[in-house]
Amino acid sequence: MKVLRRLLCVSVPLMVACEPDSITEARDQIGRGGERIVTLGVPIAVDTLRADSIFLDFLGASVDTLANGVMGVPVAGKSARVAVGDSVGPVSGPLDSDTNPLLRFNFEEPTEVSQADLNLGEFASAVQDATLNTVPAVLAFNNTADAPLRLNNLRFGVARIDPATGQPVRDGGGNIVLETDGSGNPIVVALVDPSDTVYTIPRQAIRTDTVAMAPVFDRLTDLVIGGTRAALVAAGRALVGDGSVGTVSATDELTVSIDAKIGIDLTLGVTGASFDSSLVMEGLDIDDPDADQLAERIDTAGVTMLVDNGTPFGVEVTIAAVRDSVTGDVFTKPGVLVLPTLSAGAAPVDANGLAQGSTTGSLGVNLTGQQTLTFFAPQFTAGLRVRLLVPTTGNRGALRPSDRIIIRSGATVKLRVGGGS
Amino acid sequence: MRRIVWLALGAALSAASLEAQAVPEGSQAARLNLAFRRSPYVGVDPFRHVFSPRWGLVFQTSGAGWNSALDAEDVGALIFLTDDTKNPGGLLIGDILDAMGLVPPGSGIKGAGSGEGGAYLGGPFGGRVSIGVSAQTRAHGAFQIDDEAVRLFRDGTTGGTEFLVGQTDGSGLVTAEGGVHALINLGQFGDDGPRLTLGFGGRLLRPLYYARAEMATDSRASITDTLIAANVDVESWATADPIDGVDDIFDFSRGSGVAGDFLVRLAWPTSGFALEALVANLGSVTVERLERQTLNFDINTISINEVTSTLDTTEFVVQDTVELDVTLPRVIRFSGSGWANRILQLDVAATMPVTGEFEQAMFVELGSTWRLVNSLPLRAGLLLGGRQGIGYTGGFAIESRNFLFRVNGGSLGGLLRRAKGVSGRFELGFFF
Repeated sequence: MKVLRRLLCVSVPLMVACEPDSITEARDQIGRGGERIVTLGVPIAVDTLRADSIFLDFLGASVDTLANGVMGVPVAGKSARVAVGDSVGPVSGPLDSDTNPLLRFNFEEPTEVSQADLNLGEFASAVQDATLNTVPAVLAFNNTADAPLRLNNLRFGVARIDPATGQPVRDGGGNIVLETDGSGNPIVVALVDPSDTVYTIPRQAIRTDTVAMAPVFDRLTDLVIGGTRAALVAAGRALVGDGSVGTVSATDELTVSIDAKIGIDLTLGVTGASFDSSLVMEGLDIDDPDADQLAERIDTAGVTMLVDNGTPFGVEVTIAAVRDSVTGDVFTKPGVLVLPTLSAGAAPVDANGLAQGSTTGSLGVNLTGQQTLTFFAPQFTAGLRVRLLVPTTGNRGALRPSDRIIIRSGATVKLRVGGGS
Repeated sequence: MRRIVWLALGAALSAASLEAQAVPEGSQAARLNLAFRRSPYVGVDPFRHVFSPRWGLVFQTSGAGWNSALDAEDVGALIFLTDDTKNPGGLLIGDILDAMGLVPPGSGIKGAGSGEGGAYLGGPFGGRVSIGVSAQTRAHGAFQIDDEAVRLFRDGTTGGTEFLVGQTDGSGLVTAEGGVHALINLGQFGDDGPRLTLGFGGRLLRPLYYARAEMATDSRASITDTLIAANVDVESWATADPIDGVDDIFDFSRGSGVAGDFLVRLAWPTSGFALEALVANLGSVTVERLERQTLNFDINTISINEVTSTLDTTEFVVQDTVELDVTLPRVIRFSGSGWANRILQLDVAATMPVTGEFEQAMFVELGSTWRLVNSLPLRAGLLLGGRQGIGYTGGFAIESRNFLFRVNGGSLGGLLRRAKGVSGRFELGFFF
């Protein structure tokens, strides 16, 4: 380069100092062509977001598919233990609970459920705002006694836990206080045998049944997500023996395992359901000197987002972006860029709240040069405030794993070029 | 080619009827050796020193280069911005976009250059023949970037979203040459007729370095707000193991070539009028042991991040080792000169366009030589045509009985700081 410079400035007589004296002078020289506007329209991305991947990748919630095709979030397995041996004592011989009152006892067994057990991740606040419609629970009754157990008035409810004692709240009679609905009726789900008046678990056997527990889990999730300790309560009256010979030892018990899945089948109120999320995304990774110069030269930077919503819920999304990877609430970070809210209506739904087709929406926003600096970094963190809105008809929406949102984003950038520094 | 020679000869023979300024008695022209009436021109001239009137040894070096867009100040500015010591921030994307604005729309960027350096030893045998041998290193280079390739960065997508790369390529060749050239003076036709001189010679060439890169003509890019698609194929050839010692020059496995040079000159001693036709650099050189590499950038995406990541991973892949036959940029030049008055000689020379790898447009040189003192000529001229615009040349020399010193320079396509090209020549000779 030095040789070339000398050649240029020396080989032609009197061509003195064709090298500039400063960076400004150099940039004025190569920008002497006069200022012009260079327009560049480029696609940024087309993202197809499936409902299951949104939950898994962005909300931190693992998902499953329920029998009716709706997406479900598995709750951590819980179990309640009924100490049969403690209640009736060691006993053997013909065991007839109809004639022997000592073989009959009431039980109320709580098992606490925490917010972490719900596995809803960042979607928890939306569930709190909504009413659950589908929560199938697989119940497994494991009877270790050598005598059949007959359960009468078997039911499941929700009770609050006293934080001072760590135990369910009880009334004056020592009974667990179950949550009630607006009419004062306990919120319970009963389990009955359709072919019998009692629910029978054979001796030393496991009986499994699936029961719909949406009302119970709806109250349970409201309490737990709202910060109130709560427990599932299995209650009923146990009848040991059916008159046949049997044996109950002191350690025999009935274990009730509960494996529930919270279906994303929600009934929303007028204000919908909201949740927040954040994700770290790849930026354009432009070095700071280049980024600063480009930012100064940007005349306009228009970003367009087209949303094709194939979910049963309308969506309002407010996006905030800040340079680099950060934790905490992105919307409160210094230098945050908050974009206008993007809205997209819900897809048409059928009677079960399942999406049929899709609906489109769009957003266009102009950014200043300084605002674009956010995206020039190697990474930036995007904060999302999402509100799910009621479906097009009714207020119930059921999300399938394959339901998707397609977002096409593109940018049109106008750069001022030339005209010196 | 033959037609050109016959046309030149026809013009010469008919010149007997042309009006000419007679060289006045006692003028500089009358005392000037005919050999020094042949003015130096820009470009290859194998017979330059064969016309010397005495045996001598001449050392020479020269070079010329031009481009169609950037002038000297632009290049100086870009060099300044790429110098880390002067501009720690380095050349920025915006600087490159600014520089693209200097490329005139519709023409792309073209450039060419050549250079040589060597020595000549020769002189006359009797009054009719001159022979000389020469050894030099010579370089040729040329490049062109299609306007479509520039348009994206100069205009963006304003004028369209399809970009066909078109003709984008560049070549460079460096050779070591040894040659023999001879002039035969066939004598004067009549008392006042022209003196005919024929020149011929040849050079043996050894390639020292060759490189070429070209984009496939169907390479294209398409950029819209919903899709970025590109399919760009680049092929390159380069000498795998450049010369690094004298022994390598004599390694014939690297290739060789031959070039022929021819000249016809008619000079009227009395009037000072002269016509000349020069055909030089006819031939080719076979370059062996060239490493051929290819690069393919193929993308069809809706994500700009995928473009940048693909660019990061795209690289040249060595395919094989080949040999190429490179045609030398032939020179066809027609020139004429005459004396305007006692001290002023005027010259005109037209160098025909060169096609092929080392493409160059036709250019015309208008020169003047002022001999206020017979052995101290001062030269000034214009260079017209080419792709860089009007150029200005000048120089001075010491042309004495035993000593030759010449310095010429040119500001091509503009004057001094606005020049888009430069030429220079330095000659130092000793005659005995």
